[in-house]
Amino acid sequence: MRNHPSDFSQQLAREKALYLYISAFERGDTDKMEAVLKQAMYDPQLEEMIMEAHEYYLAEEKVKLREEDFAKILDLVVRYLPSGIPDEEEAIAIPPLTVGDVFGKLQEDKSIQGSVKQEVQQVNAKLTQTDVPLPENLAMKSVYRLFEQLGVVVSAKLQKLFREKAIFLSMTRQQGIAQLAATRRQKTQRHQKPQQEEEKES
Amino acid sequence: MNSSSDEALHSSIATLITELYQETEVEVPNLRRRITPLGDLVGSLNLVSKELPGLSQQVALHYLIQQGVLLENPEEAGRDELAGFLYANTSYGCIFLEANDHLTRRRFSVAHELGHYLLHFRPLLKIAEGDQEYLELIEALYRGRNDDPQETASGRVERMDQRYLEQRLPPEARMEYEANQFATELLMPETVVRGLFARVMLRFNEDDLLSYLATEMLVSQEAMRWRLRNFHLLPLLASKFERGKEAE
Repeated sequence: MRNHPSDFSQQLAREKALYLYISAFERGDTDKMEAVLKQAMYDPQLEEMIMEAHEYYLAEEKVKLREEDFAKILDLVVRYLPSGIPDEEEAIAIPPLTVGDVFGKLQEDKSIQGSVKQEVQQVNAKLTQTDVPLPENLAMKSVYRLFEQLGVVVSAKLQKLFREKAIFLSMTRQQGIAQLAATRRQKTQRHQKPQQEEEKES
Repeated sequence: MNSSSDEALHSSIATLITELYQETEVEVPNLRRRITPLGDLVGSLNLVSKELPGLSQQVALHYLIQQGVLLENPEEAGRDELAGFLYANTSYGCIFLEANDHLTRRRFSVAHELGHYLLHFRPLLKIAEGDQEYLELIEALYRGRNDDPQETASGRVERMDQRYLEQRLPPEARMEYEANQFATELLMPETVVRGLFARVMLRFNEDDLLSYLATEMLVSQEAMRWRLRNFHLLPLLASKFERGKEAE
């Protein structure tokens, strides 16, 4: 069966929108992404295509998003796309922050120069386990113990920088999780309202 | 503020400071180690301190955006010059300081913000967490002429939405007074001030005594003067010199 001409042009428009969205995603252009997501709010098929694209990027391309980009994209997706909001059971799926995440951030930081930069690279190369979750307690002593457990010797300066980055990353993560929870609550409320109205009517 | 509420505040701050040293396992200042180890205290909590030049609310929030903590700059972020600024969310926080302030001023600003964090923010953040509410709290310490607790501290605590604060926190002026009192008692513990004073009071005149005590405890002379007056030690000193003059 052939598509109706208007279906065909709609699909073409969706593909064009998806292309724009992916290009914007790759460039980190959140304004453009936001514009396409607004469009997808009223087009379930486009919404599905965008969610599939995200799944592909995260699963197949092994995209390693920076924490702030992750937070921005999460914010955009949950703001505009109901299907982007995980259910309660899926909520736990947000992975914990790891030592590797913090080292990734330290390596990106252009303000870190000279011997500390070298040390960041050396320690990162020595770490056999980068997926070790960060402890919730990020006191200096706790960070010291963490490196002890990982079996690497780290200078006091780098421990301080590591701790600082870890705290900022944890703050970002808490904000992202809170936004997700708030959006989920709104979603649940939206679902509950029509049900309650139906019950009243019956 | 009446004396009974002052006593109650003094007592609750003393308890809080004792608990802080227990929680962080940091050595309490004494006559041998007189300087309050602020860096160790902040570093033993889920807090970082950051010194930025030209500190304002806008500068601090911009820094948090760069770090990815905030996604966008809240509208109308203040540009007034600040001595200190505190940002905290559920479990973590950052104390910002004006990098160009002198050391004693920066130390007072850290202690003041730490006071807000422990007295006002942390209890509220814990309640909010229990209520599954997400809170972000900020506090700005505006620049005064010096770190005399009576002359500074026109601070303001804010939340990105105010509803929670209005219901659960004391009035602004009260919170500022409490944070200043906390800073004073943390930086100049009574036992250390009285102990040092007793050791040297007969050797110095008032100016030299203030200079000595302030240097030993890494606080400003104005702050030390205020502390000694609170303990009614300065009139005693004056009478000592008057007695001295009479004898001459």
